[in-house]
Amino acid sequence: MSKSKINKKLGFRLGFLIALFFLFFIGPFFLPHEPFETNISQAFLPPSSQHIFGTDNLGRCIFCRIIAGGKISVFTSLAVMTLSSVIGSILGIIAGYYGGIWDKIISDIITVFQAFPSFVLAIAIAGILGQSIKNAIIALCAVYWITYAKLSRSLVQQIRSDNYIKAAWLCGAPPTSIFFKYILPSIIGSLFITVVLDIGSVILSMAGLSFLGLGAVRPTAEWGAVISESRNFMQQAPWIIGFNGLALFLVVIGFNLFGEAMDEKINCK
Amino acid sequence: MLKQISKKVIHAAFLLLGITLVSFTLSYLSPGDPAQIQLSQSGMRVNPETLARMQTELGLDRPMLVQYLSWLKGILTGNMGFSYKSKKSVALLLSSALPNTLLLTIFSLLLMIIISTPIGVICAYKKEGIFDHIIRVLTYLFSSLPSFFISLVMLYIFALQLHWVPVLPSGLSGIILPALTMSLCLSAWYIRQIRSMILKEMEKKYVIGLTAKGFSDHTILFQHVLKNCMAPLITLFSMSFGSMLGGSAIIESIFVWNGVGKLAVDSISARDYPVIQGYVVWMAILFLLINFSVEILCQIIDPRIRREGLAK
Amino acid sequence: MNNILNVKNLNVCYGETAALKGIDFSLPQGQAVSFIGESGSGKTTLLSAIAGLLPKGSQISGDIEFIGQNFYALSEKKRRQILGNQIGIIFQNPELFLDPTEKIGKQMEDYIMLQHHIKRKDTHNKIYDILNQLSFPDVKSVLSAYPFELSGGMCQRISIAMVLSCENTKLILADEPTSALDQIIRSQTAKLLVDTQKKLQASLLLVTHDIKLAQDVSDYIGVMYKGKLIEWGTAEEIFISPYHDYTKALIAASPKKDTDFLHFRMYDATTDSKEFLRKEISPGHWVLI
Repeated sequence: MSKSKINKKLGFRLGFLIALFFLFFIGPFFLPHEPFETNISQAFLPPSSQHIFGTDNLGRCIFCRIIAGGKISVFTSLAVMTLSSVIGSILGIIAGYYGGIWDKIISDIITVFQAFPSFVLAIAIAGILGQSIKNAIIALCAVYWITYAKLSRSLVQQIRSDNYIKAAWLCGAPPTSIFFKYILPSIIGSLFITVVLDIGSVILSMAGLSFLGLGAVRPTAEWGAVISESRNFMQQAPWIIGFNGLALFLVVIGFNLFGEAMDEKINCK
Repeated sequence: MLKQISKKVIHAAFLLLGITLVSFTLSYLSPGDPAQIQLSQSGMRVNPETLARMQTELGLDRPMLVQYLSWLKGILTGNMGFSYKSKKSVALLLSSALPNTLLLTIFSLLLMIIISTPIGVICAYKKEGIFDHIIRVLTYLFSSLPSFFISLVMLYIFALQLHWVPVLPSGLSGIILPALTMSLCLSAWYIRQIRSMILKEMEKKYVIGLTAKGFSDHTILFQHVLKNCMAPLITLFSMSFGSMLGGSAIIESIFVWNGVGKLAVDSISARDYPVIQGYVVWMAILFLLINFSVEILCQIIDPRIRREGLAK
Repeated sequence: MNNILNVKNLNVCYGETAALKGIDFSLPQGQAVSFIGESGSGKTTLLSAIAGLLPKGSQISGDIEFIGQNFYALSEKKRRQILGNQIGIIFQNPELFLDPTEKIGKQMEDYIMLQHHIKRKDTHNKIYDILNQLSFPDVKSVLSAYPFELSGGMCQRISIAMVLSCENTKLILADEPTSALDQIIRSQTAKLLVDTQKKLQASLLLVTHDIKLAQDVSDYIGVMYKGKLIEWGTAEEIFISPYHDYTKALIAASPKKDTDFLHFRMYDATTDSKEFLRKEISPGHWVLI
C-alpha cells in the first residue's frame, strides 16, 4: 500500500478520535438536556426529535447521559493505560536491562500474576477494595501491567545484545545515556502501539467492571453501569442498552482502527 | 520426560504458593473489618467488646504471617473459611458451583471449536475471497463489543422476542444460550487467530516441497498444514480457557447460571470476602492445571518439542 | 532427437518488476543443462516458471512446451499431476522442504503411494531397494528419523531418492542442489544426481552458481544475467571458448564491473525494453548482443 494511502487512513482515524475527544470533553457543556435531572413523566420515551436516543426509566435523556458518561468511560481507561504501561514498562526495563536478581524477582512476580485469569483477578481486586472508580482503575492496572512488563523486558533483552549497544558500552558511555539515547527510542514505538491497540480492551473491561457494579457509582452515566441498571427494563426500553452499547462499540473501534493504522505506518517505513 | 514433568510440578507448586499469597494479601488489604461485617451480618450489636471478641474468634489479632499460614493450612485441608452471608463453608459453596461453571466452559469451548475452526480454515484457504472479507468484518465487529452487551442482545432476541428459550431456564437446557453467547464472543478472536496461523504455516517451504511432489492442495491442507498447527492451536485453547473462566462471571450473572462466576458476583455485592478469596484461589489453580496439562499435551503431539526436550 | 523442453520467449514479471525477459532455449531428451549466473540473475525464477511454482501474483507470458504440451495451457490439476510424476524437483535446503513433523519413512511412503497408486505396506520393498541403490549406510535409522535430525547432505540424498523412486520422471529440476552442503559432500551429491538422471534416462535442468558443478554435470550451459539469457552453448564450447566477456569473467571466477564489459551491451531485464539480437558463433552456440 502506498505511503500516501497509509497517511490518509491514519489521518482519518486520528480525526475520528479527536472528534470523539471533543464530543466527550467539550460536549457536556453544550447538551440540550440535563443528564442527571429526573422527570418521571418523561420516562421510557422511544427515540424522537425531542430526545434523539429516547429516555430512560427516570426520564433522563439518554443521548445526554451517553455524552456525559463518555468522559468517565474514556478517561478512566486512559488512566489505566497510562499507569499500567508506565509501571509495567519500568519494571520490565529494569528486569531486561540489569538482568540477574532483578530479572528473577520481577519475572517471578509476573509469572504469579499471570497464573490468574485476568478478569477474575480484576473482579477480585475491585470487589474486595470496594466499589469506586479508583479501585476499578487499580484493579485493571494490576491486570494490564503484565503485558507491558513482559513486552519491554523482551524488547530490552533483544536490543541489549545488539552490537551497537555493545559498541557504545565499550566506548565508555554511561549506562543512563545508553538507555535514553539508544534503548528507549527503539522500544517506545512498539510500546506505544501496544498501548493504543490495548485501549479498546481496557475500555471494555472497565465497562465490564462497572456492569458488575464494581466501578462507577450511581448516578454516574458510565456506559457499562447504565447497561447494567437498564437490564430490568430491557423489554420496555431496549434502546437504552442499544445506544450505550453502540457508544462503547464506536469508541473501541475508533481506537482499534487508529492503532492498526499506526501499526501499518510504522511497519511500512 | 519424567524429569521434565517433575520439574514442572515443582514450578507449579511455587506458583500456587505465590497465588495463595496474593489472594490472601488481597483480602488482608480489604477496607472492611471482617469482625465488624460478621457481627452486623449476624445482627449482633457492634461495640468495642463484641468487636474484640469477634476479632479474637476470627483470629484477626494474630500477625499477618501467622494468619496467612493458618489460612494456607486450612486450604490444604480443604477448609477455606466460612461465608459471611450464608455461614456455609466456602469450600462447599465453591465445590457445588464449580461443576456448573466447568460444564458451561467445556460446552462453550466445544461450541467455539465447532464454529470457528471450519470458518477459520475456509477463510485461510480462500484468502481474500468474499467469505473471508465478510467474516473478517464480522469478527472485527464482535470483538469490539463487550460480552455483557452481546449476552443481553442474545437474551433479548432469543428469550424475550422469539421465546425460543425461557428467560429463567431450569435444568440443563439453560446452558444453551450462555454457552452460545460465550462461544460467539470468543469465536471472533479465535477465527482470526486460526486464520493467521494457517496462513503462516502455508508460507513455510515444506508446502512448496509437497506441491512439487504432486500432492493436491486438499491433502496438503488437511494432512500437513492443519496437523502442524495442532500444537499451537491447543495452546490457543488454553489461553481462551482463561478468558472463559474470567468471562463466566458476567455471563453466569446475566443468564442466571449457578456457577462460581455468579457466586463471585453475588458475593461481591454482599461483601462476602471469604468467598471472593476462595474464588480467586480456585480459579487460579484451575487455570494452572489446565495450562499444565496443555503443555504436556503439546509435548506429546509435536515431535520437535519432544525431541528437543530430550536433547536438553 | 526430441526436445523434452522448448521454451519460447518466456517473460515473467512480479508486479511491475520484470524478472525474466525473452528466454529462449530447447533442452533435448536425456541431456543436462546448467543455468549459471550470479544471485538475482533470474535462474531460480526460470526454474520456478518451468515447474509451475511461481508465487501468486506473478505474470507469465510466452510458451513452455513440456514433452510437446503447452505446460501453462494445461489445467492446474493436470499440472499438479505432472509435478512429482514426470517432473522431479530438488531444492536447495532439502530439510526445509520436507514436513518437519513427519518421519522420513512416512514421507517417502506417502509419496510412493501417491505416484504408484499402491498401498502403504507395498511401498516398503521399493523404499529399501532405492535407499540401498543410493548406498545409505543405515536405512532403518534414516527412515525413522525426522528431517531436522538428518544432515543437509543426507536430506538431499533422500530428495534424490524420492525422485529416483518415480520411474516416470522425464525431467529433473534442481535448484542449487549442492550450495547448502559442505564442500566434501558436494561432488558426492553431484555424482548421485547424475547417476539418478542416467538411471531414469531423464533430462536435467540445473540452476547453480557453482561453476565446477555445472562443468561436471552438464551437456549444455545457459548463462543468465539480470533476467536475460545471454549465452547458450554446449558445455565444451562455453568452457573452452566462451564468447561473452561476462561468461569469461564468470568462469574465471573474477567478476568485473559492468563498465568493463565494453564490447557488449549489458541488458537489465528490469529496466530495458529494447529488442536484443542474437549472434551465432557456431551451430548451437550463440550470444546476445
